[in-house]
Amino acid sequence: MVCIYGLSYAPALLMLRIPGHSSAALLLFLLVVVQASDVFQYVFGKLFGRTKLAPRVSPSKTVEGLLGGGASAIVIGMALHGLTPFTWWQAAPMALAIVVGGFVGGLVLSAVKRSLGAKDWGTMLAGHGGMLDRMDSVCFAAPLFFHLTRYFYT
Amino acid sequence: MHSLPRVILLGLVRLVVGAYARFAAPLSPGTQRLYFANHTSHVDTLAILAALPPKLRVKVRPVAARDYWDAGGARRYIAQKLLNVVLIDRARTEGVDPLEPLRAALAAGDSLILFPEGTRGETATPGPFKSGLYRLANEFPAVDLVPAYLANLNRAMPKGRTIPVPLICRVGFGTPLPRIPDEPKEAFAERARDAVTAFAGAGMKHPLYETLGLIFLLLIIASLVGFALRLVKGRDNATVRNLNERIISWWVIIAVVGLALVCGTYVTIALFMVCAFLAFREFITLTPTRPGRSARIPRHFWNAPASCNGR
Repeated sequence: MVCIYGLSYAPALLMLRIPGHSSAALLLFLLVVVQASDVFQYVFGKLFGRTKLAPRVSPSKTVEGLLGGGASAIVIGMALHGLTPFTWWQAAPMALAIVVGGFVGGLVLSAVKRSLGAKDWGTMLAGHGGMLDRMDSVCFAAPLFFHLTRYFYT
Repeated sequence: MHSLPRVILLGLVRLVVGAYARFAAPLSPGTQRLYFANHTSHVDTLAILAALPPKLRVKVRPVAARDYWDAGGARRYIAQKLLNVVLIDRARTEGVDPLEPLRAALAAGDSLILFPEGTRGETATPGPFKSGLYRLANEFPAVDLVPAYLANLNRAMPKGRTIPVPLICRVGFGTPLPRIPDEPKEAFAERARDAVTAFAGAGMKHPLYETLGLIFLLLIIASLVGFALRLVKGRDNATVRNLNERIISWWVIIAVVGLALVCGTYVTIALFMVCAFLAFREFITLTPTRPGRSARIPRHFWNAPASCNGR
């Protein structure tokens, strides 16, 4: 089950023990980069979006949005490297992995949504849609980030 | 000692005074330790316990003054039922060594939290240490002596206050104090005191709160931009209305997530469990289910967090 198993990797970060670092900060890093990526994809898409990326799956995703949003999220990730055991340049590939994971997550769950004939997963969060509309990217980015961090830093 | 009231109490401590841990060197679970710290407030004991990772917390018993912690029902309940303290008599009686209960606890394999000043100080830097730490250190050579520095707690709950002020406090754990054979009492006390204050200055920043503050600042800016856009483009612009709705939702999301992260591991896991459940419910709502299959849904839900905890 994508949304539960994948999502459970986010709090699983709290079980990593990295000397001298708090794992809550690591989780905050993941959430900030994922959501920043989504927010800036939305902002760049609205401002400069011309080329549709996958019109059949997700009509609001554009190439300009992806590039602008991804780059912004990586810059934010590098700026927040103090939250993590990474150095500033190591934070860049980590943030990139999160952005890619988050983007694929959004795309996949969008495709599932279309195939079920719905626009949003729910109505719980005004403006966003449902919980899953916000969590879709975390579901895919969290396992990736968890295992990369565990492999390289513990 | 993993009772729910204890977890709630330590969560509350983290919420009010932060109690963020900083480690000079990683502390592995399973080692018997004698933590010694500067003593400035009544929350010190709680703050050290809250700062320690749960795995290290298991066999740790704070040393507490009988005249304060054994007076009154609430204090006695917290001290004995929740914190499993070792009570020490500050009033000397002839022929009784006040360190005796501490020796018994150390002999039983417990770790202790000790405030070698013996009383709360008025200033951030500790006063002279009493000889108790020296004697215990000599009698139990296998126990690691870990210095801890409590920053800001003298501001959170100064002498005379009964309720702590919300304030970000930090607990720095230093490297274990090496033992020097035949060291005189005074030299040891001085060295132990220096080890505690060594953490007073640098290396004590905690980025979690600073980042959360930054995010709130960005939200305020985003809200102002949203408000300005509404003035410029008018109330009926669908995109702007959607943007503003999103920003308001962000306030709620970030407040909830930030609070959970500050409260600690268990609250955060609980929050993600709720989120996973809500996401799962949305997924099931949209997915066509056959009559026989729906019965299996709850089991899937409870299995995933269980496998996550076992990792």
